[in-house]
Amino acid sequence: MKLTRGEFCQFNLTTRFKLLTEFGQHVMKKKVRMKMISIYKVFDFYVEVYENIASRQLEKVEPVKNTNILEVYEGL
Amino acid sequence: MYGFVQILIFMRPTNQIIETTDQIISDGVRRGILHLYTDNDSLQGNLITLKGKPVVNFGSCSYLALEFDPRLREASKAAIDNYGTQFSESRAYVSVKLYAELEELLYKLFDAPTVITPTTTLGHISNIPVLMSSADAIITDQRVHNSVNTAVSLMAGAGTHIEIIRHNRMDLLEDKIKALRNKHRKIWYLADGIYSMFGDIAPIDEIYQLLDSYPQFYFYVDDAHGMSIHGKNGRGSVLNNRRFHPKMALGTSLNKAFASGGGAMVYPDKEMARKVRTCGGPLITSGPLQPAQLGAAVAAAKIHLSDEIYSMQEELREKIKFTNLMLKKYRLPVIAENDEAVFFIGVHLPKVGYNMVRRMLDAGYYVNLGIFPAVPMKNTGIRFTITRLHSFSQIEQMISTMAEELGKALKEEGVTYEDIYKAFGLRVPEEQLLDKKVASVINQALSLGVFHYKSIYEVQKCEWDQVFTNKGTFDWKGLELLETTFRNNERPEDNWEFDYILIKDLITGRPVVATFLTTAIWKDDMLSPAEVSANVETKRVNDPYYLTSKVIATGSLLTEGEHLFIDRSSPFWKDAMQLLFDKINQLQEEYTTNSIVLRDFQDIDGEMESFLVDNGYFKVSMPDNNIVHDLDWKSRDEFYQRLSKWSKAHFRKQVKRYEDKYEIGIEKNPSEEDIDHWYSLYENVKNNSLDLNTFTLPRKLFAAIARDPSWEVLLLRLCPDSEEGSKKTVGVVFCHVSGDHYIPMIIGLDYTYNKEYKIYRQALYQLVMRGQMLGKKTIKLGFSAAIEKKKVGAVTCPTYAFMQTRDSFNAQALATVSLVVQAK
Repeated sequence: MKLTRGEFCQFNLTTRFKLLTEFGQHVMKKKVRMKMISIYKVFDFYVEVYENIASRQLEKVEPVKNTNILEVYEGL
Repeated sequence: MYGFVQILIFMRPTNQIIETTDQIISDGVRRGILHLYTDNDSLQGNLITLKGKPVVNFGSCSYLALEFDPRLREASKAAIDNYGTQFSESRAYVSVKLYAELEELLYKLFDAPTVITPTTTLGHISNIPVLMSSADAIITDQRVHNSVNTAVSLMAGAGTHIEIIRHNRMDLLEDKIKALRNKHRKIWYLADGIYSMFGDIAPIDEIYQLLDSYPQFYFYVDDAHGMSIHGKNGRGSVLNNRRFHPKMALGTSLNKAFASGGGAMVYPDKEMARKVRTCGGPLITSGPLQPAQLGAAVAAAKIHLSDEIYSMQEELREKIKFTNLMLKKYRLPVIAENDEAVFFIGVHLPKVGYNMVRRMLDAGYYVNLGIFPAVPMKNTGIRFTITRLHSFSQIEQMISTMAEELGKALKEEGVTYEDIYKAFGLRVPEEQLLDKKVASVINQALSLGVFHYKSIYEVQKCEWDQVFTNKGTFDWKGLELLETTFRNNERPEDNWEFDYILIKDLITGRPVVATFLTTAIWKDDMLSPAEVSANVETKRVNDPYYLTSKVIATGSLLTEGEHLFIDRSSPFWKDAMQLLFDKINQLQEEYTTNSIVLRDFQDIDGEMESFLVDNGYFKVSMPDNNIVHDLDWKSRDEFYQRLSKWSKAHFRKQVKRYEDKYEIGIEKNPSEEDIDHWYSLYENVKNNSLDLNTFTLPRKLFAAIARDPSWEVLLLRLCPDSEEGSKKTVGVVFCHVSGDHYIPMIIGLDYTYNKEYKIYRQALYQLVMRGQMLGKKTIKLGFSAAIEKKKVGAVTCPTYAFMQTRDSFNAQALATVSLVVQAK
């Protein structure tokens, strides 16, 4: 059963990340400055994950509104 | 598990609940879904193996999964190494050192004095008799845990005022406090923080307001399912963001999310704790918690006192949130939406519950069956729990499987989603209203026809009598009399609804199932012991309808016998019964009745009993029916010779000696004065006996019976040569005479002469004589007074009814009255 973006955002960062690992597909990973940025496809949308490389802390797990997100990251 | 088990306490015999529970649980055991053992040699995580099949365990109450925490395991092992497997001394003498450490840690955890008990149940048994006294009043919530009720029952003998109120109804609680506050030293309200079956919560803020408003009001709460998962240091749902109220005592479990064992009883002050520690029965006489459990508890307490507990709580909360979301998406009938780790999905009937648990096991998920006596029969459900060990995908897959399997199980068992929502008193979601009714499906598939009539005049006399002649007083004419009498009356209890249902095989044209139903107001204590009814009647002086309910029943309050015809030789009898259940359920909705009663089963076999239980009916003992079969004697002397030695002696002393004092007559054409007198004799009996407590029958009935050719009135008059003078009618019996049976239905006596002339015993004897003279095959002497009836040759026939109750509150309230009355 799919979650909507809004429903996904009701959860905390850790849960969101677990939902990605359990239900999502890892699409790409890119290192930008001191962050590791990953893109997951989960349910019907993409999710951006920011992880601080030094502290290994999750900083952001947010659904992406831009449907061309993969092209954006490929361009970086 | 809440106090539904109380309901049957008032029924006769009192071991009925054991029989019903045995039947239901044993059925679950036979089907391989209850009393299971894991096959695993070791456990880690939430996978268990049952009967060779690995399944995900959705039944654990260890919500934080601390049982696998290495710190608890190590501490437990170390405690055994240090103190042995047990320290076997009463806590009144010596406790192992770990107890002191744990008590200190728990004091910090709750910020209040604590006493540790071997189990939460023993904690309540330690607390309640010490904290509450005969000068207090105890009010229990309708759904408080059975362990609390067990402890409360100990107070009944002390004369403590005990009452029950509807679940979570704070308005009613406040009314009770106001009514009782000038009569009792303290008024205690006993409730659960989180209710164990449906996972719903007590309105703690409102209870605190009442505690602040009324000085006499005290609160006792069991927070077993809230421990660890809520609040500062995991101190539970009640104390989550709340102070410990000075007029509260709290019992909680160390055996669920705390993952060790035992119970913790928490108090507002040291003196209260000291008193329970000193005087609580199980703390003097029962064994202690053992070192392995104490070691684990100390380690668990240290985790609770660290910040780690909050991340564990948060992790569980997220999983609960996800579960709620999934339940909504899959549109499962959740009974109480909340943020707790216990979930209950209604399935309505036991047969659907068994079916679903089996299906879930086959699909790889273990869930609990929520069934009688933990919940009312019609409120069967699937109870499951969420712990930190569950992954989100396990939760999603389990719920999607449940949604898929529930549809199949409902179809297989002939139940609809609409039935589920209605059984739990919930609004039916619109999409479920489109659900196709089962009746029409069975109808079409099997060519069974349901014929429903609202009056006996609509039913063909020959067709009805073909089925029901010789079954009792309810042949066509008998029902005509009942309909005429119990319609258009002033008092609500004298107006009955009549429904006649024939389910026919349309190919043979013969009835497979036939019955008539009456809907009327019954006294809930009808079958209770007389002393219980006497207590209830004192309250009916001001409130005539106190503890009464509208009931739809096969037969009527004025008929006895085989009211439900089932042609067991038909291959469709079970389908026909399903159609009958469906029809009765519709009528229950239409008339808004609380209970359904299928009456007067005598020789009930296992197949029929299981079938009725599967469909949500529980068995109830009715008073034994007494029947005289042996009527082929030729003379009164031969009758006497056939009596047992003991009955002969009784007969000589109590009956024969007085026989010539009476003139026995049959009155066919009574005057209005006669009827008035007979009615007054009936009222004597009615007012004198509460054994079968019903509303007083209307005079109109007596006039109708007295002039009906299917009935006769047997009169016992004292002879002119007796000391009392001229032919006074001192006994009257209204008897149904048509068919093969002689059925005395109503009796009236003049008690002024009963002691001297033994009128009742003489009446029984004369009834047997009259029945034999008329050439009847049996004399049905009816319910109650079995010993007296046996003395005139009657044989006792155990009789049962099968019941369904929508709202069990009245039955629970009656059980509470019964508990108090019988303890006195």
